Amino acid sequence: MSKLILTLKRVIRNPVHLDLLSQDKLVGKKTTEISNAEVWEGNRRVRLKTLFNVEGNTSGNPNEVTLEIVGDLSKTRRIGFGMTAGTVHVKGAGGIYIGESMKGGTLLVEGDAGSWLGSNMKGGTIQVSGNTGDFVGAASRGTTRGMVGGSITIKGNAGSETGAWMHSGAIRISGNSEMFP
Amino acid sequence: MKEIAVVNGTVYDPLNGIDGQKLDIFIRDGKIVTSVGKKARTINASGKIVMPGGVDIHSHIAGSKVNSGRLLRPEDHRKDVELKTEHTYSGVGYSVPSTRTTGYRYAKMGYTTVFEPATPPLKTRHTHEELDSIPLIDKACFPLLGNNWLVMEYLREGRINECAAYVSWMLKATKGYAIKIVDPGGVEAWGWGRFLRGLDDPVANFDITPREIVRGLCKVNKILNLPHIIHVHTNNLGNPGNYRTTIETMDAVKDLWDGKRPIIHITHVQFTGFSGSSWLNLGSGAPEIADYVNKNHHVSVDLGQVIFGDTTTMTADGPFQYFLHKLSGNKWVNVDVEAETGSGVVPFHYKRSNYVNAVQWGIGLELALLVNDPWRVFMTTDHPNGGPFTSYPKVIAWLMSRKAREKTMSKINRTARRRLDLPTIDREYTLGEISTVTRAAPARSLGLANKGHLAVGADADVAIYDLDPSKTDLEKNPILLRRAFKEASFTLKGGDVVSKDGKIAGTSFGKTFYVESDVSPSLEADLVKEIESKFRDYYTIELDNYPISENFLRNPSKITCEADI
Repeated sequence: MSKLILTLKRVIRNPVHLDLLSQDKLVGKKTTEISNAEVWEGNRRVRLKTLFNVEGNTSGNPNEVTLEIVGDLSKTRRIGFGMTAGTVHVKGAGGIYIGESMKGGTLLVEGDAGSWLGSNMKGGTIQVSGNTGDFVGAASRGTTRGMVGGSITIKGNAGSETGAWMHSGAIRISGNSEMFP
Repeated sequence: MKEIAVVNGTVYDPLNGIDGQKLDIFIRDGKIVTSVGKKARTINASGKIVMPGGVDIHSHIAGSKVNSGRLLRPEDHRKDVELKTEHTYSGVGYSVPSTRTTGYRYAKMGYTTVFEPATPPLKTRHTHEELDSIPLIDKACFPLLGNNWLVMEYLREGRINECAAYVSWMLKATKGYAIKIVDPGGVEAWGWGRFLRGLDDPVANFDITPREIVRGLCKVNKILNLPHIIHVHTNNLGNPGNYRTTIETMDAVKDLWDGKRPIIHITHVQFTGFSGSSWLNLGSGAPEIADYVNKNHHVSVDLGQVIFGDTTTMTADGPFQYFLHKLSGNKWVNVDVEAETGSGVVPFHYKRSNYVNAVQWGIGLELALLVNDPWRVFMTTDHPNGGPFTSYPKVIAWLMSRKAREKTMSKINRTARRRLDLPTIDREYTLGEISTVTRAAPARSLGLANKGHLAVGADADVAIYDLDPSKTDLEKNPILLRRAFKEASFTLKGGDVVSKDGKIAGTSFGKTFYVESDVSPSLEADLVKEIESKFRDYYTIELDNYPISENFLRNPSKITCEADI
């Protein structure tokens, strides 16, 4: 049971692409390697350590690794992109495209999530304690296959077009929802 | 004065009869010369092969339908993103890449000249704008004339000279290169809700048959002495049993042949080479077509090879695209261009496991392997209809290596494999033949005297690939072929290195070729007087706004011919 904790150091002004932050890309890597990894912030490449305090490690069985991200991440994109195992725990608001093309594992968001949550999702579990934006479990633009498996649970409200082009899987919304597709 | 010496390479220059000899190539100021000074930059090509820059005769890279394809397919951009580098802009798109990315990807593969084969005359201004923003390669476009109302009227009335004058005016007005005929008469007929089934079905309202259109434009091509020949996409494309129509179309102009070069080019012949009577018993008509091409020297073909995977089909053949949209259930764009042509765009996924798609894959390769004369069969995928042009290395590997073909064949639909002749064909292309079908032959067919070869005076368009045929048995190692042809070690365009080891190293813009074949001034004056009134009747725009002036093009390059009238 290893745990990697990333704590946001500063306010994010431009969109940051965090598709790196999924189990598969981090397991077995050294902490220094992770903190030196580059991500896009707007049109610049920045190192993870300039955005986050990185603590802990990701050694051991990938299924038991937990990745904890703390801070206001509403300006980020693609956390947990294509993840297949383990747990990603977002403490704070998540951004857009969380859990896109996710195949397995668990993704927890303690706060609100943006639009396109779990779009093109294939498996795994997503739980959001707050509200979400539009296009939960939808197909990305132009394609005809949205969510095909897994489950999404939203404690708060969801935006419009939830489950657009959805083929299979489950979406549970405890609050209100806007227009369905 | 810029000088380059390419030394110790194994050269494949079929137009000059050089097939794998060690030779040095010298370049000064963008041309091939006999020798250079001592200060010249030297590129060591030992252990590598040297070919003329690739020439693609048929690739939809620019124009309004390509742009419609981009608009229709955000998912195509999403899956293929290129970041900007020192010399390149960023871009997106797998089957319909953005304009600059198109140029970069061609240059990386060692291609330096690409022809956009279908532009509706009315929308050619847009085509030229896009061609102008494609960097690194030379290009040109073929205006669509096979469903043009004025052409059909002239031909119906038997006024062949006036028709020639009109085509000459049209090429000048659109800065076009050759006569393109798509589904002659069929697109117009479909506009009235009718389908043409054969070459002798009359077109609604025009009382003319596809046969008369093809023959008429073939005569016009001869009268105007255009550098290329009529570029024909036949009727009945995509229907089982259409190989007969293809052979009939080729046969329709046989008596016009003067015994010199071919007079008709049948394009993406894979799509028009289906035998059988329905989708269930669809077979390959390639043996019959190849037999005809082998026996008759007035015709050339290009493949339109299918690549398994996702792509975007786009053609001026509106009826076929409607049919494909209904067949596949995929999204669809359709456009009617007033008084001229139509077009359609449909995304399509070629699957190995699908019987029809697997047969299509086989037809293309069978054609390439059964036509004996590589000078009359050109390698294309009809980008992006059969697959994106970035798949050319795959096609080269299939043509050159039986092993590569067998590997793919073991994965395709079993019934298709049983019914195809492909497993029994042993022929493997040599590097010289590959150089012919990808460079020399298309350049000769297009009438480009300075392209497709490396003799003194030719344009210094050179591709150097990291392949050593003396050391390895390429037929047994198709992976080497694919790797080498995917990224040229060096691509030289007009004497400049534009790509090195798959990295773009230049920012130049190639030329846009266009053809002018002036008819006699009196004939032209009469014509303009006549079409002025016709424009008022048929078009929504004024005649004065129609022609594109030369200074609209970034780097225009005029090719002048002598018309007979």
